[in-house]
Amino acid sequence: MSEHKIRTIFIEGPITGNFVGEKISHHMNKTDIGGHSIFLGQVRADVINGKTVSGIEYSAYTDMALEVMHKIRQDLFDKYDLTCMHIYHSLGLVKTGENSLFVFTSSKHRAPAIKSCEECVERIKKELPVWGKEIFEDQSHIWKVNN
Amino acid sequence: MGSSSLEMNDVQTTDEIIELLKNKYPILRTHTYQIALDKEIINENTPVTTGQVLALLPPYAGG
Repeated sequence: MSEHKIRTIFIEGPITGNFVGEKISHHMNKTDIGGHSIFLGQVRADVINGKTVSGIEYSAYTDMALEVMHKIRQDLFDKYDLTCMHIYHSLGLVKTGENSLFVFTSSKHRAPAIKSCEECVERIKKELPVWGKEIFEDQSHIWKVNN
Repeated sequence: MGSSSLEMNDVQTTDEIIELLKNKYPILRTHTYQIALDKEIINENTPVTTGQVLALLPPYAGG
């Protein structure tokens, strides 16, 4: 398999619909692709102890996160027949309703695209040193923990 | 807790560093975290040398 360069996945602020649309349209010239799979993580207005979340402020140990992400990417390219894979994660404040994670896998056929996308999201949640402060409407906060 | 860094001298192992940190920051005694040495998660006491970076990582919440 080909070696992939370590590249950043982090974007300051939310991942917009326009950004996602542009990334999809960039693949129109890759005519060996038969299927894409996309996951978009969205910030939910959870109610915790009577207080409503208004946004999540993300931070990361970026150097480590990029190395871990590089390893996940290599593992998935080894395991599945993929054409390409793109991952973007927000840093800083993302308000409820906005998107904070974008995983985009492409393959000749649907199965590798769908399976690798799901596996990638699960591994990001479990292995990436990223933290989120859930900010409430009254500006107090708690640290989010993934389930 | 936020992120902050400090340099330590005369330490041989990760356990020694963690013990020093717990004395300096007693809150660590009641919190859950993983330990990364030079960006790799470690699960047991490990020797350290000059220039290595130890990080205490609270539970992740990406995605």
